[in-house]
Amino acid sequence: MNEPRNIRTVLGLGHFLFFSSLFFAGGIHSRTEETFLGAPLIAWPYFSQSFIQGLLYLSGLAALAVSLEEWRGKESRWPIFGLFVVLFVELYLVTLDFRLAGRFWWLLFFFTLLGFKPRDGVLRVLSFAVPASGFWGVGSLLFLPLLIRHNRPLFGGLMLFVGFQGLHDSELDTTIFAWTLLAALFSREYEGAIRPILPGTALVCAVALGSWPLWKPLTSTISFEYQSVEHQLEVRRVDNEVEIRADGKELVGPWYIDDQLFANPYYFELHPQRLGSIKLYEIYGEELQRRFGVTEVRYRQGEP
Amino acid sequence: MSPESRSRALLAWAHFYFLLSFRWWYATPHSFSAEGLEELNSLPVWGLTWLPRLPGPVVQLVLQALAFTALAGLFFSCSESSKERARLLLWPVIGGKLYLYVLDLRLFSTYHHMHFLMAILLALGASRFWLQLAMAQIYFFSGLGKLNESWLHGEYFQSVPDGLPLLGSSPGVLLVASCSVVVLEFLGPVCWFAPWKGVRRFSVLAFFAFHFYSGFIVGFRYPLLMLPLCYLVLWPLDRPVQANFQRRRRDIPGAFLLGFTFLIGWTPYLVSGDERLTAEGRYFSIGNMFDANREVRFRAEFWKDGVPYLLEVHRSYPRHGFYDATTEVLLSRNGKPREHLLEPVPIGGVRVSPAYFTEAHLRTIGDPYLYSYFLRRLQPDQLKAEMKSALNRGQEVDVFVLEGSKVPAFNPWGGNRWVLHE
Repeated sequence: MNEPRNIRTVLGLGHFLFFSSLFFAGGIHSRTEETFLGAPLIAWPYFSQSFIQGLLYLSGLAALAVSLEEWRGKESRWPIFGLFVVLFVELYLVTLDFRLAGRFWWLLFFFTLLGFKPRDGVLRVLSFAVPASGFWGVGSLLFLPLLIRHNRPLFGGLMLFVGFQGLHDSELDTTIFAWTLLAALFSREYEGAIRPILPGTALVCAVALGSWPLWKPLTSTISFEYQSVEHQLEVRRVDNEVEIRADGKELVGPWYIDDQLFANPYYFELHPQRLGSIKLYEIYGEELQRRFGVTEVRYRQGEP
Repeated sequence: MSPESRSRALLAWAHFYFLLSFRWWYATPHSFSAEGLEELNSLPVWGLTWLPRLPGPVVQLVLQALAFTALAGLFFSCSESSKERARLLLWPVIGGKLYLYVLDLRLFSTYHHMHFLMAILLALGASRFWLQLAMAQIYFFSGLGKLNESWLHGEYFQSVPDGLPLLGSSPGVLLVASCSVVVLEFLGPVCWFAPWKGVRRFSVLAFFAFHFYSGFIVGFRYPLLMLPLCYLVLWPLDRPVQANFQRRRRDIPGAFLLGFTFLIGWTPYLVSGDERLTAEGRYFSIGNMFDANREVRFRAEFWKDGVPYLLEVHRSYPRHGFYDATTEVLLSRNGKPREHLLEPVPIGGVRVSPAYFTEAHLRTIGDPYLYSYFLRRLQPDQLKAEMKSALNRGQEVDVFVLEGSKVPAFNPWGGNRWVLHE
């Protein structure tokens, strides 16, 4: 199961999971304006919801077809082109809504780049980036001996670790991707080498430290003035739970000021790991200025 | 494709769909948890309130474990040597899915019914003949469920804003599309028994086209169920279905199961009244995913612990496409102005979650049982409640009117005198 084609089986499945979770998503089609959900990186014109759903459906089926073709073990080149197209569509989508470029997508992106010309050793080392980017990221250091020599109890331990981490992170898609990836890379005995342990350790440390902002508790405050009245929106993330307060009151539905929609809580709640990004608040602030001409939008971020 | 590869591919498909089901349900742990039931954010299947429920975090653990088991089944179906393990692993995932399924009726969808039927037949090791017969039964009941104005007069498609993708919104085109689906589902399976290979293949290709197209509207769930089945169970149909019949003892349980689903599938059509409104017998049939587009209004004035309440639920027609509809829940307490209910609130001793209504899908939101269970849980001192439905942008009709202090139970087999059948 550690042949290149099986890596692409896993990648096809991963991309399918990504597309299928977006079918009914807001923020990537022409109704984004109405729902106040958009967080575009590039101001592309939006397509209709039907068009985007068609694109997602066809891309998802293409990703599944890649997975199936590689699983059947046929020696053909079209899955490589298929993955290229899938990646191209995803790049378009993440520029339409930058929050989609979360942990799962970045992992998919890097593995797909390597999946075009797979090298087992590199992929095995890189596979540790999946658990390393989770909440107990540094814990995956414990499983690095897997890189030296495949050991079944150790492999089983890593699978369990990924599962428990997934329970905390509430990300079943990433967990499924991690399980299939690890199974494809480590389920067969192989002669290992001592060398990958060093880059493996460095990778786990770098990814775990780099990913910490995705999980750490934080509070972001956006203040602005609308018709000479000061308003404040506070977004708190504690233990992966998001709490939003608008002018001091907990916000559980849309936030209206003078019958105008000023915030949709889903904008912040849907991707809690992106709450540390200042870009999210900048886009929101710009949108407030564009829609309502509010003045003096200020952002503040810190620990709760 | 060799019979061996085909059988392993079918096992892989069944496990893959289990994996997807558990993944979908991972987002709604309250449907299965003890907290979900306590907070009135789950609708137990009729008479199964007694089923034990797990705490929320354990539910997530169970769902993940089931997803892992399905994934293991998927891997085992890769090789011939581990195929039997893949088949055996179907039983725990069938059991797990069935247990979770009956904990919340709002999850009931015909594609899950179909998946159960096919997965059980595969786990029993039923031969290809019985799998093909099961497919014929699925389409037959899907066609039968469409013998109403929604489909025969094209009212359903015509009531969808913006029409259908690629087909537009011309009433004539939509009527033809609507009737074509009914004809295909009735006549298509008959063609599989025909002696002419061309007719058989044309029928299967028509189903491929239909399921492929449906994905543009409903997303991945339905096509991923039916497209692989059409290919693995039917294609290439070199011989008529009946030529695949073999006398095997192993097929007897599968044959009984199909006989049972065939008999029980008639229930909604034997019960009086329009099942699109009464929902009586609706979930016993394995076919027909869409029965009507609908708008629903529910209004209940009641007293609980000496406090008067007014609760209103309004599910509007979709603003775009098939699904983009909102359900509003409004509550007034003690004569105060009505407010949108956005989070769980206590009413008497019961915590009521608006998600109980907002998470109900198109069919369940029009089901009198949803409201009857809600009112029975509240146990109001005095009650005046009514529910109205309008189908396919037609006239609004009363579904039930209740007054008094007792809330009647809902019988899924029919005979609910409090539900209006005219």
